[in-house]
Amino acid sequence: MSNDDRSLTVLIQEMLDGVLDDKQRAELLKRVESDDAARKLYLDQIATHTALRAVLADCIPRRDVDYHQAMSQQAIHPGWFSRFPGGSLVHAALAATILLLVFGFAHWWSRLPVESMAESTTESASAPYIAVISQAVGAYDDGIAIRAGQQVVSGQLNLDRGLVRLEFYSGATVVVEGPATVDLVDEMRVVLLRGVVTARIPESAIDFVVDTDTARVVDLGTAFGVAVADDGTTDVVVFEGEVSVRKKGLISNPSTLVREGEAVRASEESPTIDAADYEVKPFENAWPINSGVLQTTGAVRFVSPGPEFHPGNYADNEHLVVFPERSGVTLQDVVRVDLGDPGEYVRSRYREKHTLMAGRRVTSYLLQFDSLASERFPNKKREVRGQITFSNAIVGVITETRLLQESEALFGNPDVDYPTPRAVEPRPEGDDRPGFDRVILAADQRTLILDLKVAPQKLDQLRVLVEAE
Amino acid sequence: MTSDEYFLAVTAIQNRLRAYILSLLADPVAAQDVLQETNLVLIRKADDFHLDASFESWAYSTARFQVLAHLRDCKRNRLVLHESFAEKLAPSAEVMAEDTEQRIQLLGRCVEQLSDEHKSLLHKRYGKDISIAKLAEDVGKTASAMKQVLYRIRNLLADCVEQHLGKGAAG
Repeated sequence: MSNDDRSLTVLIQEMLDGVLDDKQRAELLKRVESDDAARKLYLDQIATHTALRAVLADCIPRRDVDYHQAMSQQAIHPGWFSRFPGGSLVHAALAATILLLVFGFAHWWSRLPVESMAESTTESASAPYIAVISQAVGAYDDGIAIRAGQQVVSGQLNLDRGLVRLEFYSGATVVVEGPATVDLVDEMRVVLLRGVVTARIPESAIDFVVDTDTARVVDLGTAFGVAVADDGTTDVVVFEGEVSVRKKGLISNPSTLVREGEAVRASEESPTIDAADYEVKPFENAWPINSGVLQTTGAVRFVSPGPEFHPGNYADNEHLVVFPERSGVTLQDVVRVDLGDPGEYVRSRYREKHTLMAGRRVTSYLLQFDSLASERFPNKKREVRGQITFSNAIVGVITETRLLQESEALFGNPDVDYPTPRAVEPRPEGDDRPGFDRVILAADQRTLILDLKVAPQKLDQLRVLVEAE
Repeated sequence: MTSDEYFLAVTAIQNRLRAYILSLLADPVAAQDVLQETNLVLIRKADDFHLDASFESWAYSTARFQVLAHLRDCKRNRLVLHESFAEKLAPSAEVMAEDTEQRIQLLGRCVEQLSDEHKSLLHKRYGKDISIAKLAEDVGKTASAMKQVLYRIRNLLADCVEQHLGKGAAG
């Protein structure tokens, strides 16, 4: 290899390592653009790099090797995330495809999360794990991609960007949105130094603590969000239940009880915990992940967190809005649904309804598109397209008015006066004409692809039943 | 092509799209973002894909538009412009990307012939995206020495791939 080739190779490798500055990049591109041999070498190196990443994400190292490395490094680097690859290849597994395509995990095509939650919990008994990453969406810890399934030890998480959902072994579920810096102290306490978290705390983790520089937030059985600005100002917003918030400093500082629908602020400027506007915008990315919705795209939008938002009073003419309903319901009887298997929902008078058997535990969500007439085109149908991916499998989708009504008794909000009719109009079986609503359950069984057309003043609603966590 | 087949095709082309986008952008971080954007567009526009068209052409063309859109944004933000570079390189990048799957197969065999130490190093670098500086720090070497080690391993692999290609051609 000539010196020229060698210097070019170094530039290419530095580019692949992400350490080129603009000047070096300009030099690299100039050489590649002007010289055929340089171009060939450049493309060759990129092809090899890409292939190496694909190959090496698949097969090595062996899991036990990584484990011991993890344990030895942990003593030195308390914030280190143990990484346990080693699952099987899923090159052709459409099951995970759409989910992962949408969120673009690094190396997403090569493996599934390797440890089930049950296995992880067992290991935690003898290891200092305090949580497991149950979801990761474009998340990087100090530049290294975070993946679902990774165990978490005590230490500092520096989330450059993206979202991670941490399932603490106490039962608390905390979503962190980057950029954020969080000290993960133990399974009952985190210290948020900057950034946004939302938390859902079950009974087993009551008294879960989120500390910041200016406040201590103690959960009393609830769901809430905490945002810490660069100057340390802490905003606490309670979506459900209540929390206790105390100003940092003296132990004698009084605690303030904050109930659902309320918000408070703590800052260096004020000696007290002060009431604040109920502002949920900072939490709108993290909260859906707490609620079991991994991602929405297109016109699908997760409803703002809080007690005041339900299908009866929420007006949104532009989006297909997702409302979380009841969580972890054990079916006492058989429930009929319109769509239970992957594929497009088509109307058929001969096909029997898919049924969910009694005993199954599900969580329900209502998807709603409320079409208001526009002033310019009062008779024009409105169309919304988008998709929603849940963290767990979709076990049934209900679209017909009759079945929606049947299921309301179990999953509906008693404060809401549900309208009729409100059905989606799917394509009849064998009818290829355009213009019908499309509801497609993707092969990963977690993603729903929707294309709805609604006449003015009409309402489309679907109820989605998802396997309970 | 059914919707399932379409999504399968999107899955199958990921490695090729990654190589293609990376070559046009010469920036791995931006390439990751643009790959995600491309995937979203491919999913959103599934209905626009015509059966008589080549899926690969459709996917590369979508990726190219996303690359150009990204470069236009960069121009606004950082006064850096490589659109002409991307446009000029696109045809040969597509040819290179199409070979990626074969290269993956060959490399898979070649990596297995490496020592455990080298495999582990490569895995950390390429499987986990650990930076060269961090790798060097972990084993008490300088970054420059670590680069040399990786450089030699890659040369070994390149030779091995060439040998396999030679056998394939002979056979």
